[in-house]
Amino acid sequence: MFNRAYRKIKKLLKQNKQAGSGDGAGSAGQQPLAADLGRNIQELRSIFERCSDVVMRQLVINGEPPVDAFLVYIDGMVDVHLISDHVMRALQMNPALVPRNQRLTGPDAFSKIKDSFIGVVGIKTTSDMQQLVRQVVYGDAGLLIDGVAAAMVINARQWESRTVEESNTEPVVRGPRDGFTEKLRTNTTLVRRRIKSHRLKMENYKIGQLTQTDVVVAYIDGIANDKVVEEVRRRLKRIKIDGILESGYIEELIEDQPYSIFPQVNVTERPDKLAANLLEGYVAIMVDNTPVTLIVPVTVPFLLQSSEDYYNRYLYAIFVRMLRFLALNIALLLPSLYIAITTYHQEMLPTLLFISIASQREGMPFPAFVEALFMETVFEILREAGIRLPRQIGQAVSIVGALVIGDAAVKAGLVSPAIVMVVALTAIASFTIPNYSASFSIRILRFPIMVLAAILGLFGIMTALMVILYHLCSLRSFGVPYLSPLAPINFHDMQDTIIRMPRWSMFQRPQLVAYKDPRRMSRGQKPGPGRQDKGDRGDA
Amino acid sequence: MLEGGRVNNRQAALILPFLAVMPTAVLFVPAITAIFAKQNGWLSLLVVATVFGLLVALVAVKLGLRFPGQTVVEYAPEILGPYLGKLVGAGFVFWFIHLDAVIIREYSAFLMTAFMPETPQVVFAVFQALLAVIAVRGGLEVICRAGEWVFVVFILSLVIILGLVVHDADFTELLPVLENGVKPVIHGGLTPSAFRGEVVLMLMLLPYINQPQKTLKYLFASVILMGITLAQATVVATSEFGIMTESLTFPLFSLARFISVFGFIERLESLILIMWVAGVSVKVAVFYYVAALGAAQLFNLKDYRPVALPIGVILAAWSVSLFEDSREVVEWLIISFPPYAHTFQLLIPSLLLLVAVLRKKGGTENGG
Amino acid sequence: MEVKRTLGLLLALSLLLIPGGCWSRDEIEKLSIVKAVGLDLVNIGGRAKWQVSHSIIQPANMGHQAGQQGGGQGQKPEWLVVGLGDTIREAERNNSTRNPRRDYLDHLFIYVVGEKVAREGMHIVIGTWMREPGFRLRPWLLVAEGQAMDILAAEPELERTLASEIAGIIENGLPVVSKGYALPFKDFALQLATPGQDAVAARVELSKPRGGEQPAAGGPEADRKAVRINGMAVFRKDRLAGWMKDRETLGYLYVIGEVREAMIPLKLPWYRRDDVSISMTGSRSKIKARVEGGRVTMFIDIVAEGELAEVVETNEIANPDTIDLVERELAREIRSLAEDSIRQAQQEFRADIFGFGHRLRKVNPGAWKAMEENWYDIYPTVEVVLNVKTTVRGTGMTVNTPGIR
Repeated sequence: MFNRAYRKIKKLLKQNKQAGSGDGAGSAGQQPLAADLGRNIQELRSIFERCSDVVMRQLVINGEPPVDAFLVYIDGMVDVHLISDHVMRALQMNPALVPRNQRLTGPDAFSKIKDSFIGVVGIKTTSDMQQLVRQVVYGDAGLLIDGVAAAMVINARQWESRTVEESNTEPVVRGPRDGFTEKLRTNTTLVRRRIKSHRLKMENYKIGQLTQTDVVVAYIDGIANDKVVEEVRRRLKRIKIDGILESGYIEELIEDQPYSIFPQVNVTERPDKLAANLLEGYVAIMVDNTPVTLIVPVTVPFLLQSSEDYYNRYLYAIFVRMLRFLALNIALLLPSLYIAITTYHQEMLPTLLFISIASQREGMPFPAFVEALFMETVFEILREAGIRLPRQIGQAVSIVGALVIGDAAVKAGLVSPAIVMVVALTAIASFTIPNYSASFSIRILRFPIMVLAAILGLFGIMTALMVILYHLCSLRSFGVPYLSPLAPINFHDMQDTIIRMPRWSMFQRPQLVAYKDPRRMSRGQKPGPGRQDKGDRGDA
Repeated sequence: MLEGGRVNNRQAALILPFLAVMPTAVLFVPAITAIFAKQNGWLSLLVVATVFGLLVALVAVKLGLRFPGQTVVEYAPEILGPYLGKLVGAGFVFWFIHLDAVIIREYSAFLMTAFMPETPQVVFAVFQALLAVIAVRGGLEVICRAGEWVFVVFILSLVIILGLVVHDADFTELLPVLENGVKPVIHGGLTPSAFRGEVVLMLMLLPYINQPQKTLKYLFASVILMGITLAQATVVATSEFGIMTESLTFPLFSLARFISVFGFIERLESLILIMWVAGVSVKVAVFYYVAALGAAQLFNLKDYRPVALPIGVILAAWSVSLFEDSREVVEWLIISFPPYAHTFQLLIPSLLLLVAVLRKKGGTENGG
Repeated sequence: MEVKRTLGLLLALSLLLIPGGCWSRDEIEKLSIVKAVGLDLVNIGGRAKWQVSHSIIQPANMGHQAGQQGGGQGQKPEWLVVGLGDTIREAERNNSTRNPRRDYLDHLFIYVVGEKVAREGMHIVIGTWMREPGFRLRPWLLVAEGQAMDILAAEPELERTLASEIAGIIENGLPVVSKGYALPFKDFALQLATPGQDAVAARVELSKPRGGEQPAAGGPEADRKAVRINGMAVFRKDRLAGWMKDRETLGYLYVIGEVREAMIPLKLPWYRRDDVSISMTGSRSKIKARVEGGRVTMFIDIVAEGELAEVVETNEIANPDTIDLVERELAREIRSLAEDSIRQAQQEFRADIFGFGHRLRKVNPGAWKAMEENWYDIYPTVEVVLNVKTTVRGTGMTVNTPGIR
């Protein structure tokens, strides 16, 4: 019953949407420009009515005879110096200084202006009013000339943006300090500067009927899996939405399994990480106005990987990754283990620890589960507060708050000291997860596991872990099994999971992602005295 | 086809049968063999049960290869005619469901005795069944993938137990060999061989393996690996507990309880044995899966997922009402289980194979 | 939609589970940690009753909370609860009428069995305790000379609790002196269950405090009692047959090759006065059984190593010839220790504590089968051939004892 009603409503809504989608700004039909400048000006003024940031400038070109022209652009989105120096000055030049054969006369004035007067590289023409308007809102300047039913679109885009600086969410000790900014072009440049190859493709899409957000799909032709690229294109084209303000919008709209708690898209703010992923055959989705770039497909080892692992020597990288793996388990399981062990499996504690915990807990008002739940919640609140507060205060609050509240709770006899230690350790451990969005899943999952541990002890924890395992096994990200290369086991791809093999031994790209062109470097590059000439010199 | 996925031999013929036999076998078998074979229990496990397991594997794979892309429920009517064939198919489905209920019961009996005596059995049954539902709805690929890691965890738990107690084991407790002749050894091998024969699952899984010609090799390896692992566990248990092995309900569990290294690595049996929960969950899931698949094929359904949940409810309820007490489980395993299991593991498949050969049904290629 | 339905189902199921949940749950502070169990048979009104004593830890008094809550440093961290009952488990459970917390046996260190229980037969005890799921096989089993309850009522001298004190003596004290031999519960039970093998267990007794002088009579320390573990309780089948003294215990340990460290005093015939001590550092033994014409002979090879630890004479001792002589004397001493032990076991207790029968069964099951019925008649007549080999490896940090001039 309910189902049927729901489906009916959905159908109705769909029809409605289709009917309404006609009047979106992006999908308007053609509307040719008029030859008469006056009419065009009138039209433009009515389009940009109540748009106080649109600059419309009428000017006269010093031709023989002088020609009327009209310049339109949005203040703040164009380089005013460029416009004044290379457009205005050129147009208003004293005709006496111009050689006779180049004087602006007659019908070829338009092309003359375009080809020889304006000193700007990016210049296009259009004869469509809607196209002109679209370009103008994009930050181009439009130049109309009387008597010509066309307009020049001058690319003088420049707007205020943050400079390239180090990413806050993914800091490294060793490695480049540049991070993506809000400006798409800067971001693509940062990547292109790292991969100077024509094989690095960047396909452009505009998504969002009102926001007209630029989305670039970047991949390396011949390495990336065509199926994945095609799937990305298909899913991006499916998106019909009024606006995209952050890459998170896209992420949620292209996921494989929207009900899953695990992120199915990897994100980064680091161009070096993105470039490395592109080289391995991954596909990137860069979105304008956000420094956060999406990478697909994603497999579960990314939980442990930081770009720094590849810059430090491999032994250190292995050590650090194992440490992170341990921390990941602590962050996920420690509070539940504490609950399960102190309430069900006390025998697992060494006798002295048993006695110590028992003496701490003597006279405590709440069971261990409530204690743990309380402290975990407090810590999550503190962490959230630390992010929301102004940056300078934030850190102080989270550290001092944790110390003070933990200590006060113990002193007040609310919780036992052991649980404060457990919760603090859990919180610290969860900070080691390099991937920000993945750490959310871990933090959320902690709570249901705690509940199961309180009901069924270790059996509950194991049940929860098995549910997670089955779920992860059934997940796919753009056709690639989420747990690969761990399950199905692919021993070759294990080279870069919990461990990271030395670079000279990882001469192949991950097989599951880049099966087309697996060769990364030639074999036998293990360095050592007298080994320089060995090995085949294949081109990677 | 009902199952879209394809799995490879390592997953489905080596690891899956291992996990479909070991998790409960390792709990019950060492004590049961010790009752008959005393200190020679390891021989029952290493030789008698393995030979039986290899036979079952051989018949099951040969039979399956004659009908590529079909499960036993699908080709039984081809061999025996529609009525008798459907009956055999239904028999197998019943057998899988019943056995699965027994598995859940066995493991709940263990958990209740060992960890949580006050917890009602239905809780464990419901949780195990729920876990299995999740796995089964994911399909064979999901079970196989999860199985690969559960296999690692399971082996790890065994290695930890055996490795940590072996330092104070007295291997002379295995003497004298064959004190009372071969008979008790064979008698002791009956129940373990019924466990080992559970590789007959391959009748249902073979069509979904991507290289069925090589399956037999992997399946043999799996059976032999089970033999070695169980024999090892029994050897260590016997050398640790000697003559007491037969009077312990769960010898390997007692071994785990006995671990003590450096004075502080001790009493960790909960942690280690909880790892077995993973193993049992895969075991339950495999039987559950073949039961659901078989039921769907029996009734010519397009998808087995709709039958999954009802079977789960049957499983949870049946496992609770199957036996009165935990001793009854062991009695059943000793007395009724071997003939009951051997019928479906060896007798029926052999008859099917025989009739198929005589009536020249199915392809004649016998694996390359 | 499908996912929503599944979620709904899961939610309904979890709702079913939560209110009835938390079955086997015990908050850690609601458990009473039993560190030692004592078992006695007592006569009450002419009826034999089991008496189970639990030595329970009071965590707050253990002094773990440095500074906080003032922790009762002065208070006893142990509490002895004694219960009576018709069966062992009932007596144990009857403790709970006085115990505000739930008994928790997983952290048990020791079992002490009273002498009377041991004389009545151990099989009831073994059977009962092994059935209990919370029961472990690791803890040490000791037999008390007298009542087990009295032992558990004694006070620890160095450790905070008596159980740790006893466990400490067994784990750290006995291996260096080898005058007592404690077995974990499992090994004891295995010895009882194995055909052709009789059991031994550690013997524990009350003694005066080990301090130097005797406390003044009537003073607060006068009736203070401490425990001492030495010698062995020897069982025949499952009944206590008698006690072995230090000397025979050492001999027993040499026969089964379990001497880790020991100090053996020797009287050297060529010295005018005083002894030497040999610090023994290890031993191995091999026991072989042979049957000839219905007669069983056991061949026992003992290999022992030691080091000179104490020499009173200042004469030269550190030359190879003298060392050889010392070795020979040492071998003679160990042989006599072993012989004493075997004689006592064979003739006095008639208990096969060396497992001669068990070893015979392993190598010659046929012969064993023939003898199994009357093994206890055959056992005292078993001939034992001892072969002792000793090595004195060195003279310690000095060569000869420096003379006083």
